[in-house]
Amino acid sequence: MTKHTRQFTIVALAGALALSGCAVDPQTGGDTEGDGVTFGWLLPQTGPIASLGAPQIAALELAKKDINDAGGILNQQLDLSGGDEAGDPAVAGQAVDRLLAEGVPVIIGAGSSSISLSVIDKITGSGTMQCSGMNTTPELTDYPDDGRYFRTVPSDVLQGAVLAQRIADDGGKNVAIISRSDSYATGIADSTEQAITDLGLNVTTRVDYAPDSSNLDTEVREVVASGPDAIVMFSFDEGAKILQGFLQAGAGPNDVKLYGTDALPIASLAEAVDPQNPAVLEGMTFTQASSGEGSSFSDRLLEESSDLKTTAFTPYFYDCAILSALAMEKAGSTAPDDFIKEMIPLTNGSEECNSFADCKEKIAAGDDVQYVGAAGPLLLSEAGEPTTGLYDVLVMKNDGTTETVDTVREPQS
Amino acid sequence: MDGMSILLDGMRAVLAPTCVAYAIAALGLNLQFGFAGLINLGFAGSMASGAYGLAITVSLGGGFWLGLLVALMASGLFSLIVALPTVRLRADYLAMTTIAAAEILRLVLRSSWAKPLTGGVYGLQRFADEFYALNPFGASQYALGFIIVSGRTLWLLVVSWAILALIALGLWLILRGPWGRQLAGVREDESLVTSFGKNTFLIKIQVMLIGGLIGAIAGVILAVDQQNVNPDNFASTITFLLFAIVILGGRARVFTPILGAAVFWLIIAMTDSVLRQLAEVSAASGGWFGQGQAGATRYILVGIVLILAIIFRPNGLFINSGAPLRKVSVKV
Amino acid sequence: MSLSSQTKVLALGAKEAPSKRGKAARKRIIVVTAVVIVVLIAGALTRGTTPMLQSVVDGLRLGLVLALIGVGLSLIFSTTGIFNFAQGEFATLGAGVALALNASVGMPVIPAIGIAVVVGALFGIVSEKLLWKPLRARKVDTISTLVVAIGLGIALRNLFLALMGGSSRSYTEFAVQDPLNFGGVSVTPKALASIVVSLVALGLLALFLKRTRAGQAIRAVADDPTLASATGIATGRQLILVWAIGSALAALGGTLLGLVEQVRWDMGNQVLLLVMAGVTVGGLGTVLGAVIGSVLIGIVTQASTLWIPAELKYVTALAVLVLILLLRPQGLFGRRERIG
Repeated sequence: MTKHTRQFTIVALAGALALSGCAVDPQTGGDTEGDGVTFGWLLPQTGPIASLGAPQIAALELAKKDINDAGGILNQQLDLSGGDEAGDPAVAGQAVDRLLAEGVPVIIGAGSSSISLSVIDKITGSGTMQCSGMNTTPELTDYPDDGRYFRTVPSDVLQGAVLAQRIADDGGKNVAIISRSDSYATGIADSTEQAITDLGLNVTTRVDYAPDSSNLDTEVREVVASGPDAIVMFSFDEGAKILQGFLQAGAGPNDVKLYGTDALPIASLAEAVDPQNPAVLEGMTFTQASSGEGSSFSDRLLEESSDLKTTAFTPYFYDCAILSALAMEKAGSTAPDDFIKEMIPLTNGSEECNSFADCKEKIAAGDDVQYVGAAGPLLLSEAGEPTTGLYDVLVMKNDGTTETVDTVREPQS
Repeated sequence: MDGMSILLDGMRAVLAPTCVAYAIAALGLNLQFGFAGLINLGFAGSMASGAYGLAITVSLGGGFWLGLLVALMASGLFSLIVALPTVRLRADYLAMTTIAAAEILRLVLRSSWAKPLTGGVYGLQRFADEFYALNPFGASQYALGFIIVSGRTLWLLVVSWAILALIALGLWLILRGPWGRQLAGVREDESLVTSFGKNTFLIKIQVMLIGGLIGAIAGVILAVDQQNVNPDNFASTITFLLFAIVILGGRARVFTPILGAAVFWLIIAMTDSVLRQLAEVSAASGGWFGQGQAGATRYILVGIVLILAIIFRPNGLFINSGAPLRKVSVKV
Repeated sequence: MSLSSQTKVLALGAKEAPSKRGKAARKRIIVVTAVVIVVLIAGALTRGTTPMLQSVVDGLRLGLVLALIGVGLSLIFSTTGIFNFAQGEFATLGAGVALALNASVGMPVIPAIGIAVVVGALFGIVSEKLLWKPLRARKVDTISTLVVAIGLGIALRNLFLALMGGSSRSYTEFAVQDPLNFGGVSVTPKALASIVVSLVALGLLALFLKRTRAGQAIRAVADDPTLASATGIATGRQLILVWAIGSALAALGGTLLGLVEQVRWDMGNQVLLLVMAGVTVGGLGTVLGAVIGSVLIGIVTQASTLWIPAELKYVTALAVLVLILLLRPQGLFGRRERIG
């Protein structure tokens, strides 16, 4: 074929395809007749937050196991179909197109708020439900999504308040904040800064660093030079590098109080900071999503897959999957239009239940259940986001593991 | 393995507005780089200034159509600011200054300092409602061959294909004329063009400006498709990928970059599809390859395919490599 | 294409006498140093001497690592015309190999770094033999090889992601060190070691290029590939050597980066832009330019945070790059006649 004929063939082919375009019946949601239900996920397997993808996928696999062990959804086995958000909305969009074509009733994700914002129209516009366990950006609260977008991760304001209160209780007066400048960390850093100021404490400095800057020497020095007695950090895996900087600049946990959130790879943090000294972070304090049962979901996930480096946001993604499955059970249908209505009531009922199996039984018995899952009670608002957060306060021990010293519900009611 | 669904996944990616936007961007880049030999590694900056020109105007209450105008003006301004001092530089230094300019733009757009205007790391959303309000296809689903698209997507597709066709046609017309011959002159032997009394500086500025405007249109289509702009969507990676697309299709031809974009999205979608299916096969037979590994493996394959494509079709997939160059046997 | 045709321009361009070139270079070093010192004094006066000196030391450390990674990029570009977008991944390769030996096999860090550098060199040689040479043999022009470099970068980066996971990791030794204190300026021993090792490696490279026959041949090829092959210097062997040296130094730079900071799958890609900026500011194709340009970029990056928010620190470095290139389009130490 010569160049021209080849080009013309392709143009003609495209034209033929375009001409054949005609209206068809809307095909939204999975069919209830089939022999299985498939949930889609869109999570960061590659790109700047690739370190978070694997644990979140593991959390969904665990949810799938729990659901199928309890007999599946409406007696159908649950399957998962994945897509990589790749830190690139164009590639994420392609993955969403594929998942939608597979007819999944729900897409769990995305990890990054900015990716969610770029695919939310596509997902909710097609009638599919979207649920994220990591999007904390305020832009998503009032987003016109026809009530099809949910999140199980509470607003930054809640965890910020818990952190600030803890710092005040520990006697911190002058607090420095260091934060990754991205759509996750900026929000929680803002609300924590606000909460700290509201409690009458002094913010000595607030340093935002670009996520793609490899070298953080000056940022660390700026924080230490501001003379804080407490430092709060909002980071992902690069937090280990920052902590090394603090330790070397004489601002280790023996010198100042260090605070972090569960976005840090808590389970492997001490090892990442100093592989030969597990006591390196002894005394550092973290807030982490709590299931309110003493042993957290993160511990359970690490037992299942011990090679995970972090469990950041995993309870919230687990809850997305379980909650969607329960909504289908309650609605008796896997069509989004039917089960979406059940999402909010399921978190606001009167009869508490803690696992898929437990809740499924109670739903079958006709109870008005409230799912209190891996991340505690959710009490989803009309906007489809939690109005309450339950947090464990963890303190790192000298062997690199943590112990829970407190469990706080915010807002206290 | 289900070959048909892999093929469908590929077709779906090619028929998405994203692919059309990449094709348009590739046309603009090809004008600068393929036809005029200007290596503009800051192409993402033109796309960003277009997308942000629209989003900021609408967020300030200016309306979509004014936003389009501002998008073009912003991109024109960016191109001029970048091009005026730099087009005289040697190719490699031009590449470096343009990539620096685009990165400066991105870093400023995402900074907390610019947040009141640009939304900082959150970006801006929902600025194209006026455009979708004109959608004549409604909310129903349409079949394009085997691919089902929503009326909303179809509307954007029709518009962006029309724009793509117009731009391609326009480029084809102007590049056939004397201007196109001057471009070839600038690319091959600048002193010759100068000796005929033509101002190469002016030609280069025109090329940077027109190419940048085409890039802005591509940026706008991407933004309208996602109803979202974020500074990190316009990192240098997208410029590198566009270069790959132009070269993959075959540079210095008007229509080949469009095919390059299609091939690129075929590769992105089909490698993904193959690996996800592999994961399913493996789940049934012991789980030696999980969904978790598919993400990184896909990009490994994409990289390898890019390398192989150049090894076997050095002048691009759609240009016969035999023509001007003698093939030499490979000695390894 | 412009990149390939510029070598022809090169061949026709009149060359300045070496002594004159050396003199001019010395003059420019003095000018650059003077400007930097004036800025630093201004910084010391407004922001205090200690933070200023601290950022100079931090910047020197970062800049020299950038130079190690970049000098290969620069040499490879000036000898082959290939702009190796995968250079960052060559650095990650070194850091990753050292990490694998250190964390998985339990080898001490220093020998692990040694082996990583050797592996880096081997990787460079293999890439030349299996990839770049066949491409040249097929007369693929340098612009098309850009795509090969981009593809190689994407493939390697994600291979590292698949192999080492998404998280940052440290070597088992030297992870946290007590810093040495020089009058308020604190430097960890590993950062000091990084500075010394970089300087020694770059010095050895300069000596090699100046004093040895093979090195002089490389410089001849870098100056003018066409002429060099016409006069019978076998360019093939020189190119293998260039790839070996360039990749080995990049691997060394990666291990030092991993030692002082951390090892991550995309660490090389994160510094690529700064690396490119450093060698371009200095003038592509010169070792001296790569070193001075990179150190300048390193210091500017670190010192700028004294005045502007940290999230914008790269903006300053990139703005300095643009400014310098507008004033001196061929970079600080590049030769004027190479302008196309």
